[in-house]
Amino acid sequence: MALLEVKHLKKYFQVSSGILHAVDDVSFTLEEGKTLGVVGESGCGKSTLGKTIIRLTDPTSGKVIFDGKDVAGYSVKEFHKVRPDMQMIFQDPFASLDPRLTVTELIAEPMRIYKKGTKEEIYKRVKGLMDMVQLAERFANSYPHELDGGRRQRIGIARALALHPRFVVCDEPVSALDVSIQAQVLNLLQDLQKELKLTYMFITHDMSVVKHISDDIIVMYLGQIVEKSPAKELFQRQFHPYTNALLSAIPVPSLHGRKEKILIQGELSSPINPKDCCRFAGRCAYCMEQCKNSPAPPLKEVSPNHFAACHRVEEMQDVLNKAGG
Amino acid sequence: MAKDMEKNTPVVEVDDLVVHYETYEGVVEAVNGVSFRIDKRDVLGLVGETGAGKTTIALALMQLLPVPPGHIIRGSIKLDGEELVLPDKASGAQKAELERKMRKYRGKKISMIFQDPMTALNPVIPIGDQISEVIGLHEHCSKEEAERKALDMLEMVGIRPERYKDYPHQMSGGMKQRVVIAIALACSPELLIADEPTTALDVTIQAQVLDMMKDLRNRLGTAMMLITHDFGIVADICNKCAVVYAGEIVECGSVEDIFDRPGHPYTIGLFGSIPSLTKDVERLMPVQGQTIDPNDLPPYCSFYDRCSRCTKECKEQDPALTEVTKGHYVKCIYARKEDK
Amino acid sequence: MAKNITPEMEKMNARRMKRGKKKHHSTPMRDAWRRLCRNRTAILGMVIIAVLVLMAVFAPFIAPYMYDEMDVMNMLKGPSAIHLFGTDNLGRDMFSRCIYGARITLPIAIFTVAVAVLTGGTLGVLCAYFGGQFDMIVMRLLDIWGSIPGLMLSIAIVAALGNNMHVLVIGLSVGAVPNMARTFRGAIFTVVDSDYVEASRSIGAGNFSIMFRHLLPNAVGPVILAIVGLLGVEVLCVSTLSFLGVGVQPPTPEWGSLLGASKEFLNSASYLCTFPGIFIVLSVLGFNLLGDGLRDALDPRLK
Repeated sequence: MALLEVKHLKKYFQVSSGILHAVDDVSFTLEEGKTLGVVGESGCGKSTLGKTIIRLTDPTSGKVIFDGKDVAGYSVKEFHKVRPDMQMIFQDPFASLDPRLTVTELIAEPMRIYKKGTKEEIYKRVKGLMDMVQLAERFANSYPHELDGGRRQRIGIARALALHPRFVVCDEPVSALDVSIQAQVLNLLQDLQKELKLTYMFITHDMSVVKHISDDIIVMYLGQIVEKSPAKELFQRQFHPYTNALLSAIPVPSLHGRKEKILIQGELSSPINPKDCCRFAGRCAYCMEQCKNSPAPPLKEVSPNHFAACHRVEEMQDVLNKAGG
Repeated sequence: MAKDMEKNTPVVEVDDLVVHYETYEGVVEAVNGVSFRIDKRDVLGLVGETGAGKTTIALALMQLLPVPPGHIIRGSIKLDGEELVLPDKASGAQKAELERKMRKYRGKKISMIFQDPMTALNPVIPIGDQISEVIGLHEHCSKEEAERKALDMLEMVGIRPERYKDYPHQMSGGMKQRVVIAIALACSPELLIADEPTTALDVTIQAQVLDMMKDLRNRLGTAMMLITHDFGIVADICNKCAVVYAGEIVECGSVEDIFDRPGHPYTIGLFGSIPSLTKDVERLMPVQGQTIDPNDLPPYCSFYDRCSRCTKECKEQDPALTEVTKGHYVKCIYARKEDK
Repeated sequence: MAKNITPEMEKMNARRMKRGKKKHHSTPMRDAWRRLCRNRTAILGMVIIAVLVLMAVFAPFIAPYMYDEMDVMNMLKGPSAIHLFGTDNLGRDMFSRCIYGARITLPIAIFTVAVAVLTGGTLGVLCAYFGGQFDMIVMRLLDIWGSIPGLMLSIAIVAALGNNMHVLVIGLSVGAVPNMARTFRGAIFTVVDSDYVEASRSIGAGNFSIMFRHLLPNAVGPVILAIVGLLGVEVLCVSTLSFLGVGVQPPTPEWGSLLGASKEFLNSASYLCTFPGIFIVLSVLGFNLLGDGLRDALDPRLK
């Protein structure tokens, strides 16, 4: 059985110029012990999706079925009981740690809130956690601003793991880090996943990172899923023009086998009061009349477990593979 | 003949540059003996992690180091053959003279694009006027002429002329970065320094901006120094590359040298840290340990603590940059041995 | 140990050695404190306040006479060796009265600020944290409240509720509440959107814990600044009320009332109002200097 099942999840924000569709009808399932990668550009709603699932914001509508129970409808009090199972690692290790608490206090905080044992027990567990995330004991009384990004992110990970969660939302956990540190943290996250049988939802804008760590990937554009596929397959063939362009836009750190880039024109359109049509139509090189006038295309299964939301999905594979060289 | 002449005068030549920040907490050795040259049409990629001193090098070139605490200890910076580092005992008049000269050069001979396009523009002046202002300052032309040139610049960076009167807040991040680049290039400088120009942008927008920068290099022959932490960008647009660690260049050479025959363990470690898009790697092979504290550098090889192949000898000396093949330098005592 | 040793570095290193390499864990507050100690005006302010506070605490030991002791032989005598600041029209020693005055003025000012901070501060934190309708209504009420001049409000309250210390403290603090609420609200606003607030929420922290464990300590800079500033203002307000005769009543030697009582003798015995005046000025100056120093110390841009 899937650990997490998200059904038609929507999150709208009321802003002065209308309704912002941050997450618009997103559905997916996530098996226990797997990693789901969520990619997209800034403003595509990937962070909001993560925060809505673990109820840092309330969903507008839809279901979040966690371990067989729909937690989207839970009250604050009821959710407090499931929160230990659903934790989050935040993007910016510089901003997401209270600068006035020491490392020990920071890691002990979740256990203090959930009253997990006596003071001694908690401190013993803090030590264990620091060891687990490979944070040397001599930092126990340091303040976060005395540590570098990699170590701070390890604090963030230790906090998230303190309550023995089963599901962890990783919201760009490595994008604020230097490459060598980034690799260390990615290795750590993978080791922890194996050791503790964690299920990850890994949100990032970095395609190479998401390929490295994910089992399945969903690609989001303006609040909607445009393509959903097993990780390996997505990098071999794409069925949505946006995914294709996104992949080709990544600068490859190699001088060989470089492909001609496909540049998509223009900028992200506004997610406020969007028209009911394919949201990528305005920037799409393969846009037809139908794309602009008919309702947004649903996700269609094009090959086993590979879904894409495009009106021309049948022709796309041929077209894109040719364009991609 | 003429081509050879052109090759012989580098746009900028930096020799043994040392920059310290003297703060109350101690001395930060930001740049320690950096040398490089950039010729016309060259695009030099300066790669390194946070705190490696990349931005300090750029600021020193621009003569924009915050003084105090910044302080050029020694070395020379020659912009177009002209020395920019004053001797230690320079008089106040000499300093004022240099500052006056630099004010003329900034924007005209050497320009810089900063990392964050959102704060580099004045929010209350239309973008077109911000470009024409720079032109008017440096080229002593009439207002109409400056405006016409500003329109040309906008066109060159791919912004429609109708947007001349738009204010920065009406534009998206990518558009603003284009405006910043247009301002930097308005007086066709000989050297463009770009400090992480696309880090704040999305990949698809980044691709557009990089494409535009490549195009500019090809058309105007502008020399560029690109500061980045992303080898992908270096591979995309640079022809030379220098890897910076703890304020030192640990490896430099052509991009082919660096990408196909990396010699320094740090460079190799950086490549091992990047998840590949083309190959399936189970586990990354990153550089171990943390970035060194520039407050407290050892007298021996700075990379010693993180190096996977260090030996006792590494702790006895600070290795010099060794030329392994023509134009490819590596700062490691084992560089030459390995090459053989 | 370094790559490029320069004379400047050697000096720096020597200084570092001298301080000893005690590895203090620096917190923003500790850093601010260190900067404060390097600031001369702030030190001067702190010294002034410390002297005044010590004076109040040890008044019986410092003052040569009781504050209400009359020396009928020496009435309205100018400063001399026996009576340092001279005597008033009843022959009471002005020096002693001024010293004892610190025991009245300073505590009233401090309690007033405490009450204003507790009520106004709480309102401000709640407003900033919950926002929305609650914030809107509370802030509009405070706007109305704040549009009445504070001193008038204080006079009205003291007049209506009778004249004693408690009423005086309440009356004075009422005028300061809207300002304090606004300060706290503004300070909290700058940190309420921080990622660590969301991070705390993600590990299940409740509103109370977020407000007082995370938000308030991080917003403490501008808050301290406002509190110190308010102390200076309240010293002035206490004195003003007493001067006008609605505050502390004679014979209690409050600085303002001393000033008020001696205004009849402005021409014949000008020293009578000079000395209490100097104390008022000194204490306000002390708080303001400290406030200025704090502003520099707490502003990270001036690091």
